[in-house]
Amino acid sequence: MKHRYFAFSSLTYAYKGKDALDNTGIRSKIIRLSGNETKKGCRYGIEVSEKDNFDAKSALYKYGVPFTEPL
Amino acid sequence: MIYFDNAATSYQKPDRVKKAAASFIEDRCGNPGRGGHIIAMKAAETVYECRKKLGTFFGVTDPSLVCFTGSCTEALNTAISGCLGKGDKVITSNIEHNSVRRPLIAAGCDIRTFDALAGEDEILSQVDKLIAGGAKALVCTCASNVFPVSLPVRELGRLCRGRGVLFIADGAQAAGHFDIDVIRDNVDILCIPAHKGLYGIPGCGAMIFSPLFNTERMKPLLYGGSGVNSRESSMPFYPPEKFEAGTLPTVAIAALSAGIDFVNEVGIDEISRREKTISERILNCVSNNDNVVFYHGKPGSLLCFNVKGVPCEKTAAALNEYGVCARAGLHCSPDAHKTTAPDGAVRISFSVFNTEAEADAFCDILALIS
Repeated sequence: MKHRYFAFSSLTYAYKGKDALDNTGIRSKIIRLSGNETKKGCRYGIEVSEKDNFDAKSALYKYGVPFTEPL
Repeated sequence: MIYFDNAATSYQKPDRVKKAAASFIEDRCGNPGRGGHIIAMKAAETVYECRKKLGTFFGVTDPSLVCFTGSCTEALNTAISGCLGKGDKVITSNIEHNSVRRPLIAAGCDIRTFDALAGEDEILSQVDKLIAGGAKALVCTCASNVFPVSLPVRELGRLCRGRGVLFIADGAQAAGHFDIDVIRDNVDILCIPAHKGLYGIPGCGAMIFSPLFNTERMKPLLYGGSGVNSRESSMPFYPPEKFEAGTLPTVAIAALSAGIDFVNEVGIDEISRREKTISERILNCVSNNDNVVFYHGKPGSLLCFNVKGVPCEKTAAALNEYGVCARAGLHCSPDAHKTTAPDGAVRISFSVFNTEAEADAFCDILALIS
């Protein structure tokens, strides 16, 4: 199964993101992401199934949880 | 043994609190935010769940506005040193604990004091005038740690919000004893301990921010590891991680989570009712004892007294001989004692676990030693 990832400014925001997806019925998992792309170092994100990508993004916007999409 | 020192720390903990601490140590004692493995993530889940519970308990639904510290004192130091500096005009009360008084002095604030023992109307009138004279912040306790006196937090918050004055509230003796809602009461930063009225264990405190407070204007007290953005030279921009450098007190956070469940289950009104019943019973019992003087004596979560002509430490030692744990001295609140008992007093403070039988036994012992 292919996955998509969303990155957050902190672990707490990753959990807030997961709460938003849980409330929308989207399964997700919190993971540690590589920080190399941002040159900032360690960070956390959530992993969702690729089929849920659009709905997940919509849910994060709806709940106001800021995120970025790693490459 | 009768434990009447719950304002220092609640000694009798609910079983679920003990179990939560032990269970955390047993199978999830990782370091949250310091890895992605299963134990670190289990610890992180525990911390996040507690953020949600604690925020909700004080009326804040956004868990990122709940920052854990090592104690209420650390929370107050973080809030005061992060928001205030030399020459800032700050309003505070004349009954503050040293955890408010000393950080304000250390920050070099220009301190203006109101009389918290003057009654609600007079307090509001004095604070209103002090705000009119120009003030950056009001920093005060919600309830005294010496006398059964609480401050009109909601009305004070309203005065501050209407005039753009920052309101930092010390909830050390209020959290778990009476209802505080950060948003409804217009508190900007509420500082609380885990180990008193919330029945957690020592080693943890918290700041709960109002969503209306701009955390950008506040500097961290501590700098260090945050688990994210490690290449950056500054702390993360947003709370809670901005104010949480270093490893969190995870065991105490797990215990606090269970403590909040306990308080929610029993109910703050019921806890307050039981504490008032104990104190009322004691006040009634000793009303005919002319050798004992109670200060600002009215039912509450604590009482403060002296046996006439006897140093407070001697009274506490005598009580201890009979198995009563009470605290004597200035209770880290020297200003509160100035007008009532300048050489100190004995404080007895209650929890939901104290019984009317203990109150009666205490009265008998007090009659014997006075």
